[in-house]
Amino acid sequence: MDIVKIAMAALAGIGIAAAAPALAQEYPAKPINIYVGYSPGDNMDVMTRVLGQKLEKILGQPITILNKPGGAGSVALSLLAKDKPDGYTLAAVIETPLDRIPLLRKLDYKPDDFAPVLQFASGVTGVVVSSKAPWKTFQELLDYAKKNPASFTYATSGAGSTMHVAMQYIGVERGLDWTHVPYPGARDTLTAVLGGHINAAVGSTQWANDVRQGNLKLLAIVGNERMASFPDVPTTKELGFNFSASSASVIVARAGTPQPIIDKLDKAFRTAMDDPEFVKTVKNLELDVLYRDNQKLKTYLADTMTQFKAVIEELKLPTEFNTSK
Amino acid sequence: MDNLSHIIFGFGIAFQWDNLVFCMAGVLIGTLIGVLPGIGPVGAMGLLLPATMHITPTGSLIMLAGIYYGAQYGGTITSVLVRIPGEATSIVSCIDGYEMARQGRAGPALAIAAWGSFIAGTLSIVALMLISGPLAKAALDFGPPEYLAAICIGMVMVTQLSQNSPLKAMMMAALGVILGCVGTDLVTALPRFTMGFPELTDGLGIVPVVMGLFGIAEVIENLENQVSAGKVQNRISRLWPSLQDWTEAKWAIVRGSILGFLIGILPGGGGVLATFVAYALEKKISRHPEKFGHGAIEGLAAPESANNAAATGGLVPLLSLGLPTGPIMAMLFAALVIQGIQPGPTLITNNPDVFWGLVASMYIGNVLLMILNLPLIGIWVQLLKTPIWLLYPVIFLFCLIGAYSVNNSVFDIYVMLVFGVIGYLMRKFGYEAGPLVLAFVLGPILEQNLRQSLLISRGSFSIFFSHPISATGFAICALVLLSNALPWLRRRRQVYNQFAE
Repeated sequence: MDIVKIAMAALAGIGIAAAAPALAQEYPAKPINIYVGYSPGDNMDVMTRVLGQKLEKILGQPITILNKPGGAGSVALSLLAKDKPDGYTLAAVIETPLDRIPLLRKLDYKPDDFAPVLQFASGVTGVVVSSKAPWKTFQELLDYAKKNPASFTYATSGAGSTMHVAMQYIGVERGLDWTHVPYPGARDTLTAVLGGHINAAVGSTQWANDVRQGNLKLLAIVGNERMASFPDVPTTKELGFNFSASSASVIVARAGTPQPIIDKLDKAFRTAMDDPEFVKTVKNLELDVLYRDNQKLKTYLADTMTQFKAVIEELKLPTEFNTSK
Repeated sequence: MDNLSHIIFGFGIAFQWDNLVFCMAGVLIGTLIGVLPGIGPVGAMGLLLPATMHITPTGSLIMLAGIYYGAQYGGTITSVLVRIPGEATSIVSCIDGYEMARQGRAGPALAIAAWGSFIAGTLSIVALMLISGPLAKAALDFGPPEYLAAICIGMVMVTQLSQNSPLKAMMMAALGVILGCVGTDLVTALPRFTMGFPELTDGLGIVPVVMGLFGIAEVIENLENQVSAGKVQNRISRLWPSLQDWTEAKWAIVRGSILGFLIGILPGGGGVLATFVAYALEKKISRHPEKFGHGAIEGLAAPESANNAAATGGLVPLLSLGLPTGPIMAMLFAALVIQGIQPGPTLITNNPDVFWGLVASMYIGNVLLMILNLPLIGIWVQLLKTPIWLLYPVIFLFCLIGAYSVNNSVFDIYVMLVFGVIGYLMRKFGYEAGPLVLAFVLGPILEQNLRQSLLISRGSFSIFFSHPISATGFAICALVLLSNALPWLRRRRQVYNQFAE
C-alpha cells in the first residue's frame, strides 16, 4: 500500500514537473477573465478594457472584463481569492485593497492570497485650493492652519483613504488642529472647494483640468516625485514629510499560479502597454504609464504595507482590529 | 440671436449621417434596455465605452446620451403594463399607470407618458441651452447644510406620498433610513451592519432592493390568484388619450418638467428623486387627491415628464462645470475624457461641436423616440394578452438577470429574493414600498450631509440657520408640515366656532 502511494506520488510529481513548462507553453488555452474592482467608466475600468483589447491579439484568446465593484476593490479580490490558481482569472485593482485596507479592516482574504503580475500605471495625489484662496504655497497653508485651529477644513474621497492618512500624518507632524470632511468621490471634494464650502481638497488628478484653467491652485504633490505636467509644484517629501500617497494600478493572479504563466502574462501585458491607444488613454486620464514587473511589484507592495503599518500605529488610527473587542 | 446661430450650427452637426445613425442607435438601445427590467443604462454604456474610442467624441456622446434618455421612455412600459419598473425612475409610474391599465386605459397611459416625456424632453433641452451656465453655478452654492435642507424637503414629501395611512408611510420611511445605514461608515470608514458579508461594504444595492420589493413581490402575489388569471386583459377600451385626459394632464406635464429639470441639476438628486417629488406635488395640489393611486392620469404624467427632464437637467452640471452628478453622468464624463476632452467650464467654447451637436441631436432623438414609441403602443398593449402562466415566469427571469447584471453579483440576487418576500408581506399588511425606497435612497445622502455639516461646524447646529439657502429650505419644510396640520386646525376652529355660537 505504502509503496504504491509513494510510487504514485512520485509519478504525480514527475507529471507535475513535466507539465509545468508544457502548461505555460499551452497557456492560454481558453478565455481569460479579469475582475475589475470598480464600476464601468472608472479610470481602472477604462484602462483595463483598452489593455484587454490589445491582450486578445497578443495571447490569441478572448479577454472578458467583469466589473466587480465594491469595498474600494476588495470585493473583486475576495472573489479572486476563491478562484483556481491557473492564470485564467485575474484582478485589476489599485494597490490599496492589497497593501492598506487589510491593515484597517477584517477581510475574507489575505495579501498573501495573490501573486502580483505587474503594475501598468500610477496615479498622483495633490493638495488643491480654490484660486481665490489667500495661500500661495503649501507652507502658507500650514501656517494658516496652525494660527487658526479648529477652523481649517480639508476634503478627501473617504475616511481611511491614503489621502486622509497622509493629511493626518502631516497634521500630527506639525501639531495642527484641522478638520477632515469625507466625501463619497474625488469630484465631490473639488465641487466643495470650488463652491467655497471646504478649504482644501486632497485627491487624485481629477483636479488637473481645473488647475490648468485657473479655477483651482495646486499647492503640493503628496509623494516623493514631482509631476511631469506640473513641474513647478513641490512634493511633500521636499517639504519634509516622509509619506507617499501614490496609487499603483496593478494586475494580480491567485497565489500558487505557476511562475511561467505569471511571466508569460507579465510579458504580454508589457507589450500591450506599448500600444499608442493605451498610452493615449492613460495620458488623457491624467495618470502615468509605469511598469513594474512581478518581482519588483511584490517588493513594492510589501514595502508600502510596512510603511503604512508604521503610520497607522504612530497615528493610532481606528481599525477594525483595535475597535472591536 | 446668438443661441439661434449656435443651434443651427448644432443641427448641421447632428444631421451628419454618421451622427444621425449614432443618435438612432442610442435611442433604440435605450428603449430596449428601458423595457427590460433591471438592465440599466449604466451597464449598456459600460459595454459600449471602449468602442466609442473609435468614433468621434460628438458621435460617442450623442449615442451614449441617447441610451440614457431613451431608457426613460422605455422604462415606463413595463411599469404601466405589469407594475414592474423597467428603470428606478419609473417606480412611481407603477402606482397610477398600472391602475390605469387595470381599468383598460393602458393605451392612453402609455401615450400620455410618451407625450409627457417628449414635451418634458423638448422643454428641458431649451432650458439646457439657455440657462446651463448660470444655473450650474448656482448649484455650486450648495454645500452640506444646503443639501441637508433640500433632502429634508424630500423626506417631508414622503409623508405626502402615502395612499392611506401616514403612520405606516412614516414607519416605512424609517425602515428605509435604517436599511440605508448598511455599508461603510462615512467618518470612520469601518463597515457597519454588514454581518461579515464583503458584498455589503458598499451597502444594499438600490436595484436589487427595488426589484425585489416591486417585481418579485408582484410575481409572488400573482401566484395567489391564478384562478383569476388574465385580470387585466379583458378591457382595452381605446389606444389614445381623450380630450379630458389631456386637460387633466397638461399642467402636470409642465410642472413635472420644471421640477424634474431643477432636481436633475442637483448632485445626488437625479431622476428617482424627481419622480417621487413630482408625484407628491401633484397629489398635494390636486383638487381630487383621492383619485391618486386609483388611476389618476396626473399621477403618471408628472413623474414621467419629471424623469425625462431630470435626465436632461443632469447634463447641465456635466457640460457646463464638468461635474457628473451620478453614475450615468460619470459614464458620459469618462467617454469624453478618454477622447482627450475635459468637461469643464470651457467645454462649450473649446468644443462647440460637442455641446451644440449633442443639444441638437437630443431634439432629433426625442422626435425619433416619439416615432418609435407611439406606433408601438398598440403592440405593447397586446403584451397584456400574454397568458399569466407565461408572463410571470418571464418577468421573474428578467428580474434575476437584472439584479445580477448591475454588479455581476450573485449576492445581489439573494438580496432581491429576500426583499421580494419582504415586499410581499408588506403588500399583504398594507404597507407601501414607495416611502421605504425614497428614504432608502435619500437616507445615506441625508446622513452624509448632516455629518459633513457638523464636522465643518464642529458640532454646532447653528450652521443650518446661519446659511441663507439652508435656512430657507428648513422654513419650507416647516411650512409643508404645517400645511398638513392646517386642515386639522381648521376643523378644530370650526368646532370651536360652533361651540362659541
